[in-house]
Amino acid sequence: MSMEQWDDRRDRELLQCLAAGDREALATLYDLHADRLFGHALAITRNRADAQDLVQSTFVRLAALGSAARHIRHPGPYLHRAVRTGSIDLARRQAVRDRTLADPAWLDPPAPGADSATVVAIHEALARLPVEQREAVMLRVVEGLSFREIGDATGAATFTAASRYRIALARMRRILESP
Amino acid sequence: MTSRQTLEHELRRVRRPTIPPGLRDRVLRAVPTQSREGAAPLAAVPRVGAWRFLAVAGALMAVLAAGLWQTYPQPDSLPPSAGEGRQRQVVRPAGDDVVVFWLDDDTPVLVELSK
Repeated sequence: MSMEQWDDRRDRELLQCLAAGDREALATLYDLHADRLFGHALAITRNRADAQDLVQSTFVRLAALGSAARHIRHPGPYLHRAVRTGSIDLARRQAVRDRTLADPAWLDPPAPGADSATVVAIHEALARLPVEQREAVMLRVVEGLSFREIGDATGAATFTAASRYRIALARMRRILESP
Repeated sequence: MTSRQTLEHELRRVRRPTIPPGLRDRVLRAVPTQSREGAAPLAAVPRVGAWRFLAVAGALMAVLAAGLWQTYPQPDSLPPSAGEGRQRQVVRPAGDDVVVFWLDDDTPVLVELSK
């Protein structure tokens, strides 16, 4: 869990290539980051289609940076913060269209052999969390980020990320224990 | 499921979301070919610096000042007013003072006061 999830040096080299017009560099960056970005986007939106749109717009914006991309010092956290920014734009557009965000099947179904009732209850409890607490739990437990990395990815202090996680767990316990 | 440890254990059963396999191609297709091939995208256009803004603003001010200077009536281009015994002083750029006496409407007499 404490292992570094991002390799800034490697990612900066890829961004240099991307800035020079190497399209393969973008594909490599996608392969390295898209899974986690999709999980983050899903934690925010609770909607698989919206999460895909967010991941797509994040990489399109990254490519559109052109030569400015070589100035990004921490590409991994940068991409996660871009997902968050994109989610705000998306929420604004959806508010205008009066569209609901939530998708009942926003997470993958339980693995075969798992206690499906418990997993479904956890999914529902996660869905009822405020977005910042839900992304803290998802990034910590599902994506395996440290609190410092969660803070970097969400633009918050490490202490704030840890606090959101702690409050989220307490809230989830209350939700799961309520009849 | 009351303790935090138990809840964290249960949370680990949440499967990592699987990203749709077609998204990769969709993303790479969505990236404009122009920026992928190295042409200057919008964000790479150099920004106009403050000094450039000041230079343009200064040039505009100079043009405006020149226009005002041309339209504002100069002292020795003022038309003589009607009447007798009129006098006006003209201060020339060199510093010479010249008094203009008008004997009548058509006959000016120039008197240099200092040289």
